[in-house]
Amino acid sequence: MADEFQRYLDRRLADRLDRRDFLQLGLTVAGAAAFVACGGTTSGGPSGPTGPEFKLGVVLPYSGVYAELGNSITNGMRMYFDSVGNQAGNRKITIITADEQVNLADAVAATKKVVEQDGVDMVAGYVSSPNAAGNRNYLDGLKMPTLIANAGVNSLSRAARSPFIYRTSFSNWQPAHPVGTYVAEKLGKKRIQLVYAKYGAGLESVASFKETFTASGGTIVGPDVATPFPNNGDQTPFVQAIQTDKIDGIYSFMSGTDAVTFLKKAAELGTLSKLGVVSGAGFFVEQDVLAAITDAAPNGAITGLHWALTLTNKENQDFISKYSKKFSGRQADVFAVQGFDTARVIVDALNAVKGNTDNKEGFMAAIANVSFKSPRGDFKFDANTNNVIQTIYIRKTVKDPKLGWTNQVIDQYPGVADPGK
Amino acid sequence: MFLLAAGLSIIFGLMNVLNLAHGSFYMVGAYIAYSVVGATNNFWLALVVAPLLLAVIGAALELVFFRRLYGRGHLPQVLLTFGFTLVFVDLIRSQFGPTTRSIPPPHGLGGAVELLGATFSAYSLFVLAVAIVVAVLLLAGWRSLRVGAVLRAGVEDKEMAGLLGINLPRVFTLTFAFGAGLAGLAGVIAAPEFAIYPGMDANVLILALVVVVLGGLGSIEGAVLGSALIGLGYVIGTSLFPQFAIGLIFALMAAVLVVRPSGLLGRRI
Repeated sequence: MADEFQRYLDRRLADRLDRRDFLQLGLTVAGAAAFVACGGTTSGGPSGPTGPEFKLGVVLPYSGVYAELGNSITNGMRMYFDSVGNQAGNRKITIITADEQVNLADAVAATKKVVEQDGVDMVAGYVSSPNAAGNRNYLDGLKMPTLIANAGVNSLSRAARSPFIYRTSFSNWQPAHPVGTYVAEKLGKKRIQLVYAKYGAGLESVASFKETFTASGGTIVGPDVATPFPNNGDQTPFVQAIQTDKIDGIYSFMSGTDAVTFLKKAAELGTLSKLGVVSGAGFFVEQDVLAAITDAAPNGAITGLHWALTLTNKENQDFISKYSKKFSGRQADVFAVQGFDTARVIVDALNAVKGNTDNKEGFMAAIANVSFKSPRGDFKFDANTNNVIQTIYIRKTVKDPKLGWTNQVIDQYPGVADPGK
Repeated sequence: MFLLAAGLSIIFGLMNVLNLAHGSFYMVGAYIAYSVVGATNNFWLALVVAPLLLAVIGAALELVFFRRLYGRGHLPQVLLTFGFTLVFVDLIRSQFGPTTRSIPPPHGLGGAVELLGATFSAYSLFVLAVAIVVAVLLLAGWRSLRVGAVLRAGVEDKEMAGLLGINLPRVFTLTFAFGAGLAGLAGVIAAPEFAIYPGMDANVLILALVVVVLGGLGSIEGAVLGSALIGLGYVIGTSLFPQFAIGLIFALMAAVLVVRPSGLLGRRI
């Protein structure tokens, strides 16, 4: 019922925006008419795009638990589109947002809304994996050019990949894979217990870690600690299930609120300090989590992710400072980077086909060919999986005198590509 | 948990008001704790400030809104209080944003304690102690103080209590304020233990409702018993079969209701 109400509010908000846009348009037209009536002529200067408007349907959560992710991704997109004057290939780019919310039924409704009601030329977004997977057949059937901007479910790069759906974010396999090698070989920690939120992303992430970790001579010490997702109750029994005396460390996949409550409880009970290594997928200690737990942060935790706030490449430094300037002091995060890159792919592809998106296959081929230097490093697509090939950074959680708790890059595995099966 | 359920139970039992906004009071309490600790780094101050502020909010809401709805059945109350939950959660979101926050346990309670061969976090023990103290105080007050007597009279028979010269409107306002204050206290206590985020209200409200129904409406003893049962059920449930913990709780409630329709310690309806 709360969702219902939220949706109503969103609709009202959207109506209002539309009205304002409409008013603005009206004024512009009136102004132009007055200008023509006065017998004026435009003189020089670059004129706006003359091709048909390019409508981009953005389906992301703006309410519910993932609202923050949706906002970050949207901010990143807007930032890139603004930087190119909201046009590419002689077409004006218009974003039409729809609220993905949390559940599949809402995400399907949001997708249908932008496709059938607004008649968009392309769809981008999807934070949650079930929502991306659940809309896959619909979008694929329509041959709708689609970019997944977050959802990491492996199958979209494997059995369920579509020639019309590319992913700019990551597959769950990617950030975890190098961590297994790193922990076993570089750190020499050979006995690891798995600790994860028991849902799709958690299971895929630990499976990927296990692959490389055991291949490098590591042993997984059972039983796994699997928490419910989301876990709104006490984390104590799960923290206590970590067998500190039998292991060298843990590999963990948790994010957001779950990571916050788990890490705090583990710090309180003194479990973390007894472990040789706390490793995980980067989301476990990403900036949102660290900001919430501050000094309960796991000092020295080793995690893998396709970005870090502390990356020193020029693109990232530029991105971080401009982002926080544009969005009143908000710190950039990995989701904003994904949104930024998604927008860049769209713009580059539109330019490459000179705005012609009627030939869907041609447009998708242009998308597949896009490559550039992203804030996260080299960005290009994998022809086998339609997923991004990217560097996975091994990061260490530290307290930086300037940034506070953050993740320092200590190693990197360039060109990590999902195996596609 | 008990703190929350007790407040809810008193409000419901005495005033016959189904207050869905009770979870919101809890959430607001947690955010007040977050703000106070952020500004002064003093958890104990938050422990005093939040319940008082929420008591004031509760009293104001009672005077302005609930007062008009007595005797009109539960549906208008459900609508009104559900509306409040939406308002509160959006206010919180617009003020603090949707990100998760947390505060550290107060100084000296941040570590772990070895007890009977098991390790507990000191703060968890502190929470337990507070709950026991509040429960004892409430029970004592309920049984032996004049206020308790007045409240019990109100629960038993509103008209008769009114006829006996008890100023029921004032009692109602104070009761509501007290219940809201308890929810605020629960919010502060929970803040270092759990994460603070918009939506924490809904999670806890459902559990509180189950506790109240299980224990019996309008009964403090019932709230104590109910919260102990639910707490145990939930922890054991999450450890043994994590995916079924919530289901287990509701199964427990259903089983009790079959045997005792008015709850474990509730009055017969």
